[in-house]
Amino acid sequence: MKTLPPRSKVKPADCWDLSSLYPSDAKWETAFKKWEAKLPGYKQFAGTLAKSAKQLAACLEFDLEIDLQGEQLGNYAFLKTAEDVSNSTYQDMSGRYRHVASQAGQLASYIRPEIMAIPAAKMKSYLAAPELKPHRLTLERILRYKPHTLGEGEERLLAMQAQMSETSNQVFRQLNDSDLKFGTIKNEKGETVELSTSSFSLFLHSPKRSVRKAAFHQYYEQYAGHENTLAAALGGSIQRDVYYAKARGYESSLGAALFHDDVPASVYDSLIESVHRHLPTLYRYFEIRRRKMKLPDIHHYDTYVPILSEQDSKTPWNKAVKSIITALEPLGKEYCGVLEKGLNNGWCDRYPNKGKQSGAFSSGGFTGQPYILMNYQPDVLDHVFTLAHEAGHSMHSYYSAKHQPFQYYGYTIFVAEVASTFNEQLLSRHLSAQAKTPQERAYLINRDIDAIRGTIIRQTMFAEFEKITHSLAEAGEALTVARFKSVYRELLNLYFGPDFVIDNELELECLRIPHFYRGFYVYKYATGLSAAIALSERVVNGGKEELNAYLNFLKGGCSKYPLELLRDAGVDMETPEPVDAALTRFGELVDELDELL
Amino acid sequence: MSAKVDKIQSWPTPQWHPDWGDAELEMRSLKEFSLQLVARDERFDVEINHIDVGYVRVEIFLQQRRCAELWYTDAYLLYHFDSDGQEEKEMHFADVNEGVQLLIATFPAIQ
Repeated sequence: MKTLPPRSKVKPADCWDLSSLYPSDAKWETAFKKWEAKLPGYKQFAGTLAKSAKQLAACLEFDLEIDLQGEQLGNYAFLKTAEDVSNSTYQDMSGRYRHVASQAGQLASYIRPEIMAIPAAKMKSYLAAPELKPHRLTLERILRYKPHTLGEGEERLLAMQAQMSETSNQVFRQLNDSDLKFGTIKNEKGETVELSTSSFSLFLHSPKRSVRKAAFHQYYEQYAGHENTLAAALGGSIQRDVYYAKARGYESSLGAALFHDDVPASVYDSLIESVHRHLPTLYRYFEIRRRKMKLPDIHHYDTYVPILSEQDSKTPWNKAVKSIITALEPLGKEYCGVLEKGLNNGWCDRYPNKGKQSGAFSSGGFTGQPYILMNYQPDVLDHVFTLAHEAGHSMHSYYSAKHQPFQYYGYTIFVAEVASTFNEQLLSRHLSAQAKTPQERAYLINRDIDAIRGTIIRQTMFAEFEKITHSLAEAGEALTVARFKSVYRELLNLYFGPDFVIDNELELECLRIPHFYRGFYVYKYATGLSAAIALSERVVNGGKEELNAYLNFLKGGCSKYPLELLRDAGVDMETPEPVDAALTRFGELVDELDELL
Repeated sequence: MSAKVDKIQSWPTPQWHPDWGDAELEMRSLKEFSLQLVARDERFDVEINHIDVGYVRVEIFLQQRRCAELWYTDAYLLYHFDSDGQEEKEMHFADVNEGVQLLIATFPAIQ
């Protein structure tokens, strides 16, 4: 068996070069001490923010300086820790950073309430002052919460409830991550393996149907045995959302959740309506899947195993980079040049080593270059897509940091997945065009189909479930196990179609999805991929104007609200078109797959 | 006099996102104050200043010298200046009559 090398034995050329943050740990220590020593400076502004626009600007600039230095220090500590999570030097570094960052947060905690307390007309006159022009959007974003901010005493009570209000989520997490024991099960090789929340999906990918089926039923047995506790936890979580929305004067819990990104509820509703319109295509896909897998009927546990096995391929790092850069050519010379140079020169920590953080991520900061952690394996084609995905995040960070001031460079979650999945779209197009056999092409098409199915259609089903259950709570209806299951059953019938066999246990899925315990988050996955598909079509089929609009989106950071940034790039998420276009593409892919198979 | 009134009444209401406040209410309130001021003391003249999207104020002139600026959101705010044009004092009020009286009293006519 091949063992992983220790970090010290990894070739420097395969490691990221963190010197754009700090050339050494010693330099980090010096900067950390200086940063820590600056924190008492917050005191000089406390109680004075309503004195003048100049004073408010000085306080905001001080706060930004602390944040900027903190981000640089935090990034370095975080990335060093990710290299080897067992390294106590960097664990200590991260711990010290977190402690001081939390102190900074406490020292700065007066800023927001003091700003809110400035009379509205006076604040408006401040915002028009030249000193505050660079901070105007920051302040406007704080002030839009004013109608939803309560009096001092009420705010104190809400703050005191914060920890208590997390109880439902904690009950779910403890039950799901610790207390539920799913037993052992035999895998396709006949080996006895533990069934757990993390191994469940591996079993669902088993080519042997009896293994998938056994894992499915055994897994849900545990949820069935705890369904009342889980329903109480989910009900409590939904009631919490409803309570806070009402307490803060939002028209609904959905409205409260969408307020931060300034997304109208019509975007959410339109997403659901569009997906409903295209569900017959999904039903057709399930039928193709059933046929290809030679199954008498199709169940939920038959929907994860790849229809086609991964093609034997070996893509060494340099070839992967080359392939990605060629695929991204429609983004222009500058984009490709910067990315290629970065991927070949220190942006990326390439291969696994002992103790390295698993998976992949991109970490972009305002200072220094963006960094990508990979655990790249040349024989896994999916890793080439992962690299293209993370490169999308990194280039988004690169452009935003280059073109925005610190306060407006950080893009929000709503748009974060657009740049990454955009790159996956281009890579998929490129590899499909290069495919040498119909099997190879079918594999790539099926990959795209599953991405749209999992990210747009399934997440929209989840989003619809959240909308219905929150509305029920708002209407004063009891959220019982039976109610949750009946709502979910109706959605399963709708989203999987008349020919799909829905096992009764699948109704319990609604109690085990962690995202349901942090309401109204998942719709962003669906809107993000829809926008990426629509934008990639625009750029590939368009000219200079379309490309520049997209690059401007990457340069925009959070200088505008997400829908505005996307609208400027050429995609209006307030209309059904982008989601419809993504699902039309889904239909085309299904047709093509049907022909190829 | 009627030229001043016509000018004030012709100020257009800007269009902006509700995050910047109620543009109609803001303009209506600024006009109401301005109309009362010029009606009660003809020494004063007013100009609307659309500083940026979401930001509008009234500049108030006393015999061609900029003597004050007026803001409105949910209440009035008036900054009035000394003879150097430096910011001197801020006044908050909700009632137009009260505000106009205060401003006129701040700049008494020279007998």
